[in-house]
Amino acid sequence: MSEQGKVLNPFSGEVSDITQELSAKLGADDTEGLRYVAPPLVDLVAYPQEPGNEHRETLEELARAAQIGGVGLVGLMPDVTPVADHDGVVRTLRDGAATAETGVEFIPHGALSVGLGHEDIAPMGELKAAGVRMVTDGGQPIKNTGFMRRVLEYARNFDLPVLMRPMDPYLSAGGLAPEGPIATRFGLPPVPDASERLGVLRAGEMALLTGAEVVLFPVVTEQGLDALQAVRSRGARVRAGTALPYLLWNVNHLQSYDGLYRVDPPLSRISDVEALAEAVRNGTIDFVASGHRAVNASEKETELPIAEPGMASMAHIWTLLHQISVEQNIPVMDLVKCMTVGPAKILGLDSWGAQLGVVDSVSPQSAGELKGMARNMPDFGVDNERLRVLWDTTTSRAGIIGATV
Amino acid sequence: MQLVNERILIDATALGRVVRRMAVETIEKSEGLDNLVLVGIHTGGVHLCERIANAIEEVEGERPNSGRIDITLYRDDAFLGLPRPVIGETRIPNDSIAGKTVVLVDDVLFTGRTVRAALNALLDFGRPSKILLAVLVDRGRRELPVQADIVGYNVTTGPMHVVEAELKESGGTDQVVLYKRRTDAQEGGA
Amino acid sequence: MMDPMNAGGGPLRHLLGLDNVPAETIQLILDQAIHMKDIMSRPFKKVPAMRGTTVVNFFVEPSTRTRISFALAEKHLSADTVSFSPSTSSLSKGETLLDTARNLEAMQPDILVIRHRATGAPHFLARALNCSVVNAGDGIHEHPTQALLDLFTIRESKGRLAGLKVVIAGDIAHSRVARSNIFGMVSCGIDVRVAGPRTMLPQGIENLGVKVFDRLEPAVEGADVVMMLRIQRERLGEALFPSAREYFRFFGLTNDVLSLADKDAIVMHPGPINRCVEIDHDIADGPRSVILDQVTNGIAVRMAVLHLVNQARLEARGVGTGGPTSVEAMEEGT
Repeated sequence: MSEQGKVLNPFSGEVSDITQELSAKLGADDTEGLRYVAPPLVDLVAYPQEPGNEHRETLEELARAAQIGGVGLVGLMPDVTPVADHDGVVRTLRDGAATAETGVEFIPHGALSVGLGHEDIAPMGELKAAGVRMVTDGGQPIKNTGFMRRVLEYARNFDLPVLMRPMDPYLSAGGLAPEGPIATRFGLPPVPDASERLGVLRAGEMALLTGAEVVLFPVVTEQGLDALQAVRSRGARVRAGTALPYLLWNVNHLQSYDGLYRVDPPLSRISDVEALAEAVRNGTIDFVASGHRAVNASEKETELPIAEPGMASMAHIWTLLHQISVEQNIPVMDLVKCMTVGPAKILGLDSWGAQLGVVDSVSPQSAGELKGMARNMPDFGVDNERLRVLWDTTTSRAGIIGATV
Repeated sequence: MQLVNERILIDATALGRVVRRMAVETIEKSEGLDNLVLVGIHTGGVHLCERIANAIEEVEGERPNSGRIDITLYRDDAFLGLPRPVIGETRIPNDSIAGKTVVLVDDVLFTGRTVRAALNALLDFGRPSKILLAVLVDRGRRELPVQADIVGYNVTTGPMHVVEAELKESGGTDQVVLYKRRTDAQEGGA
Repeated sequence: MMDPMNAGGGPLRHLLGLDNVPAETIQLILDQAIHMKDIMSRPFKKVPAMRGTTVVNFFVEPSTRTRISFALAEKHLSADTVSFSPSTSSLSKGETLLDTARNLEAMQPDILVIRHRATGAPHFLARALNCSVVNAGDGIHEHPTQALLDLFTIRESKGRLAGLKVVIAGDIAHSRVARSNIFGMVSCGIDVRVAGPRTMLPQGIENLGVKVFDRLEPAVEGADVVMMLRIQRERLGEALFPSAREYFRFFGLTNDVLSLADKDAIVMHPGPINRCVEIDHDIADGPRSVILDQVTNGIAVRMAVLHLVNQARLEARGVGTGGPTSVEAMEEGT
């Protein structure tokens, strides 16, 4: 069998061998196959489909996917129908996890504008009172920079970080691949690097102007990372994250014109993937999220330009982390930090999941449990059926997770 | 699969005589050179066709019209998906054989399927008054009701035989050879 | 016996594009097209090569000449054909492309010829369906049969391809004709130059092995072939060029510009032409124009493509149903 499994403690940074005693305690029937033991993960950005698009995925299904993926806390984007711009929808989203009885918690992010129309500021005080710890543009960039300024000022009033999509909406319009020789060869409408760069710089300048805390997601290009360094060196409070698909796939996968590879923004070049990997290693990237977005098969099995963007990656997170670690040569600990302490800090929940090792009862979860759930994920050379996540069912927050990959 | 040389049916000296005799028979069986068109079947019949035309010119002092026909697009085995998509040239004088006496020329007559295809191809160039078939070797074993009017050489063959007319124009030494196919079992046993 | 598998560069199960297609395969198609053109000049323009083969022409984007050209090619080869041009494309969200295509496939076609406004749609269908797929133009990606007919026309006129200087001028960024021609021409050893206003030159085009010019004159200098692309007036709203008048003045092919080319240079255009937008009247109708030859050659080239794809399809289905006599029949014919 392969190398000795490891216990990863991202809070202390300690890595230790999995002992026989711990394996037995976790009830792992295949002790040797137990590769990672870690606290439950925090996935800062997932796109729920309920209310509004329950045919894609219900909140209960999302919670079950999170359980299979070893995620204890899921941040939900507000672009559901109706939009999470008031406390009612926020409560609906938050409570959506409860029915699944998985121990998974949801933390909804509030919309920064009413209906995400980016014309009227959302009631951020009310949202915060309902449990929101961050507001966001929902992945739809604000076009009017004047409005962005007011949003940041008002968010600062309530100490809410603001998660925004770094891109220029006009430069990116219709784009399906990063601009350059590959997009030209494949005949795909291009997105220039300048789009993300401008998005980062604009948000950074607004952060400086307003003193607000800005969270940029997803950063997917080397140029975007470079701009991030530039605004940080000017003193802007800017945190940044990327999504799992951008650490594993690249624009070359689009040669298949397979809708499964359609994500928004489009997959980056290999050089960008390498730069992102380095940014995870050296801490430039604060967090990694799934960016999970479930869609129906029929929305993917179609022409690339009209395929719905997104991957249903939630249930595959540990397999993805393992594969990314191998392919991009990133220590698993760095990735785990980006999915625990990194995002928890942004939400002001610094010690979330830190009570490592308290286990009462454990039930194994596997990708086999995915039946009937959203499957819009490309294959990535790992047998998902082999993934098993051991889960403490009593409470996720104090839980411990072992992953067999 | 391997081919083993069994015997030479026609050697270089005999080949000249056979072609001259076929030329004379062609003259006899056609009604005047003016109305005659020799058509060689691509690829084996094309060079033979030109040799017969040359031989006729030597005898009559006048060269008959000649052309060539490719049957790739007319084959009855196309649906079997045999790896043979390369099309050869088809050239019929004036693009018409209407009212002509056509002598179709091929090197080896075997199943008759090639001739069937060639007849279909020819008839797309008009309605001839008559079509004759001239072959260098008739090796028998027909699968269609086809027979030659002018034959250079008759030989009885089995299914394991292969007859090759190896003319100089296509890199040979001007001989017709009877080969036997060695089966895989024989190769394995050897 | 010549082995067409080797000589031909492999079976052509689908024709999705010319990206990565080796020069030998292009040569094979062009060589076969010569004989197909002969058939078109005969009094009786039909051969039974594709008898019993069903071809569906699925044109989800309006097209006149490509559709007619394919239809004639199919008829000359005796294929049974049916054309399907939905008035509204699946892009407008009705039935998905996959559902439409599966319905078409349930009717048991052997070859699907598809024109679609979405890049990659033929590639998607080739993966999803069992029949062979021929790309008749996808989005801003490829239009391989157009490029093949252009190469055929150039070779017919110039006697060769390698070493020629060819200019492709116009909206390179949004042209599938340009892309397929660039792939095919570079593969065949042609010195390709692309020219147009910067708004119409895509980033990284030079990586495809072409020289890039933002003015027409220096590109045309010494050229053997000048290929003008159609300017789509509907793109006026996209701020790619100020007006047809300005375009013609700076990027249109006039006699002055053409005089810079080789004295025997030919002029090509994939049609339909916008006279006095991309090309002057005199030139389009003049002695150097091979625009109408392109149209005729298009049928011959499409016949060659369909025949080869059909052959590859049958090969993929497997020999073995034929029995030994048929194999001998093949040898007899060789």
